[in-house]
Amino acid sequence: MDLGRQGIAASRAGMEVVGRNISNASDPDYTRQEIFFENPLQGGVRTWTVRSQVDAFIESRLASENQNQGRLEVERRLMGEVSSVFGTTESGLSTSMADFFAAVSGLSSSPESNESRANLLYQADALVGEFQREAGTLRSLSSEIGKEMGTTLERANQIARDIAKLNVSIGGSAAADGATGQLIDQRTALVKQLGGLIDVNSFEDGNGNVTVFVGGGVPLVEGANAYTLELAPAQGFDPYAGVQVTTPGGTKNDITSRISGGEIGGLMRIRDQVMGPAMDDLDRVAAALVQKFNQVHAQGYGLDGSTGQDFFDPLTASVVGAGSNTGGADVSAAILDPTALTLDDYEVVFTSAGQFDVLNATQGTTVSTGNAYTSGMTLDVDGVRLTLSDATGGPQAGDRYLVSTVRDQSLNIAAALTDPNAVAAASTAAGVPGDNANALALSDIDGTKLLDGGTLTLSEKVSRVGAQVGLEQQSVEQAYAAQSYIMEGLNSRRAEVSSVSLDEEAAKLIQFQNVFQASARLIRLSDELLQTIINMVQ
Amino acid sequence: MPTPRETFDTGAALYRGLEALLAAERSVLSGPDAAGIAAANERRAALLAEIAAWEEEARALAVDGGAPSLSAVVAALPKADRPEADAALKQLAAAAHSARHQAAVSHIVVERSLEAVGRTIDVLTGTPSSTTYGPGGGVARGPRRGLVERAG
Repeated sequence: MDLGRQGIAASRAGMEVVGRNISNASDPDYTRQEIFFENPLQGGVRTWTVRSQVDAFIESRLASENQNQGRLEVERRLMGEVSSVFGTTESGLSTSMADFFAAVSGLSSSPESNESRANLLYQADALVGEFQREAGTLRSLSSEIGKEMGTTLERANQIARDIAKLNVSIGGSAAADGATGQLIDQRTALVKQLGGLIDVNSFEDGNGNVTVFVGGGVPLVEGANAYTLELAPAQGFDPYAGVQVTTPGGTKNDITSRISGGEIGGLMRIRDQVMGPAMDDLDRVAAALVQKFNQVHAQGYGLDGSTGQDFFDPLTASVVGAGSNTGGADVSAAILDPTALTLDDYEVVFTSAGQFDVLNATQGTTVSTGNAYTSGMTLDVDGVRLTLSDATGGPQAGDRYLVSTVRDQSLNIAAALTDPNAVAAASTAAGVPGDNANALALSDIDGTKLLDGGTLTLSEKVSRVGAQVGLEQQSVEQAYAAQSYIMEGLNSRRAEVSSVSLDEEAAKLIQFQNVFQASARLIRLSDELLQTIINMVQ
Repeated sequence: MPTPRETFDTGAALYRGLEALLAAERSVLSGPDAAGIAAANERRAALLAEIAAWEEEARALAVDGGAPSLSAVVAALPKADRPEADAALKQLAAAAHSARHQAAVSHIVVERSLEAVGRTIDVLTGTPSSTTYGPGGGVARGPRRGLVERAG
C-alpha cells in the first residue's frame, strides 16, 4: 500500500509539473520546470526532483540589462518633458530673445517712437515670462523627480521585503520540489523588478537565500532581513536628495554617488546631469543679460530725462550652505557694485572654526586663504560684500557656503521699467528724443560674447542649451532603441531555454497518454493472469 | 520435469518480480519521461509473457494429474512431499494476491493519469470530450478552440 501511495504521489508530482508549466505558460517570468527521476526501475519507488530550466548567464545578463532598461525608460520620458520646455524654433527662449533684440533694434531705428518703446517693454515682458516659464518648469520637474524618487524607493522597499519573505519561504520548504521552483521564479522576478528600479547585485548562498546589494555593495536584503531605502538629505548646495540605505540599527549608508542604473539612476541622471546644467545655463544667460543690459541702460537717458535706471530688476546675491554643514554660522551677501560682478560662483570654506578660505568655484581658483573669522565681519569679493556671523552657533571646520549672483536669476528676472518714456535710448540728455546711441549700444549686446569665457553671445548660449538638450534627447532615444533590441534578444534566448511551449507540453501529454494506455492494457493482462492463477490454486 | 513444488516456487518468483515491477513502474508513470514508461511496459510485457508460459505449465500440471486445481495437485502428492509443496503453493498464492493488489493500485494510477492527461489534452487541443461539468453533467457541444492544434 505504501508503494502504491508513493506511486500515486510520483504520478501526481509529474502531472503537477506539466500542469504548472501549462497554467504559467503566459507568465514571462515563469521558468519551465522539468521533473527528473532517480533510481529508475531498480525496484521500489523512485525519488524525483523538479528543476527550473534556467540559463544562469542569460538570467544574469537580463538582470543587468533590466537596470539599463529601467533607467532608459525614465530618461526617455523625462527628456521628452525637458526638451518640450525648450520649445521649437518657432517658440521658446531663442525666439523670445530674438524678438526682444529685434525690439531693441527697432528702438534704435525710432528712438522717439512711443510704439517702438512700448514694443520693447512688451518684448521684455515676453522674454522675462519665457525665462520664468522655462526655469519654473525645470524646477517643477526637478521637484517632481524628487517625489518620484520617493515613491520609487517605496516600491523598491516593498519588493525588498517580498524578497526577504520569499527567502524565508524557500529556505523553509522542501528542496527541489515544484512549488519551491515557483517561489524561486517569483524571487528571481522580484530581483529583476528591483533591478529595474535601482542598481542591484545579488547572489544565492548555500542555504538558498538571495542576498541583494545596492549601490555596488551595500546590503539591502540579507536572508529574512530587508533594510530600507530612503531619500538622503542633500549633501551639496543643491536641494537634491540622494539615496541612502538604513539598517534596523539606524546606520545610514549614502549610496547616491554609486547609483547609475534603474529608474532611480535615470531620475537622478536627468535631474543632475541634464536639468541641473540647463538650469545653471539659463540662470547664467539671465544674469549676463540683466547685468549688461542694466549697465548700458543706466548710462542712457529716457524721453522723460531719467538716467541711471535699471531696465531689469537688479541682480541679487544668494548664499546657500552645504547640506553637510555642521556649524551654525550665517553667511550673507549683497551686491556692492553690479559692474564689478564676474558672474562666477564663490565658495566660502571654513578650514577651522576660526579660519576660512574663499574660492572661485567657477574658475577653480583661490581668491583668498587663511582669512581669520570673527562674528559679524565682512569681506568684499569682486563686487559682492560677504557678511559672516554666528547664528545658531559658530562655524565648524568643513562648513561650506556657496555665494552666487547667478543662481535662480532665470526664475527671478523681471522687467523694472513700466514707463516707455523711461527707456534710455539716448546717450545724452541733450540728445533726447532723436539720439539713438544708447539704443545702438543696447542692441550691440546681442552680438557681444558675454558667456563661456567670452566665446558665446546670449542668443548663442540659449541656442546651445536647447541644442544640448536636443542632443541628449536624441542620444537617449538611440540608447533606448538599442536597449529594446537587446532586451528582445535576451528575452527570446531566455524563452528558448525557460519558457513553456504549449505545443511541446501537449505533445508530451499525448505521448503520456499513449504509454499510459499501453500500461493500462498490460495491467489488465496482469490482472487476468493473476486471476487465472488464483483460480487455479483453489 | 520439475516437481510441483519447483513449479510453484518458479511461479511465486515470477509474481514477486511482477509485483516489484508494478511498484517501480508507478513512479515512472508520472514522469514526463515517456521513454521510461515505455521501457517499463516492455519489461512488464516480457515478464507477463513468462508468467503466461508458466501458467500453461501449471495448468498442464493440474490437467495431466487429473486435478481440478493446484491444491488438488498437492493433495495428490505422496504424503512426505505434501508439506513443502503445500507451503510453496501458499507462497505462490500469496505472491499472486500481492501482485494482483499492486496491479489494482497501478490500474488506478494509470486510469487517473489517463483521465487527467486526456482532459488536459482536450483543453490544449480543443477536442470535444465527455465532460464532468455543465448542465446535466455535460457542456454545450460545438466548435471549441484549443490552445494548440493537434497534429494529425
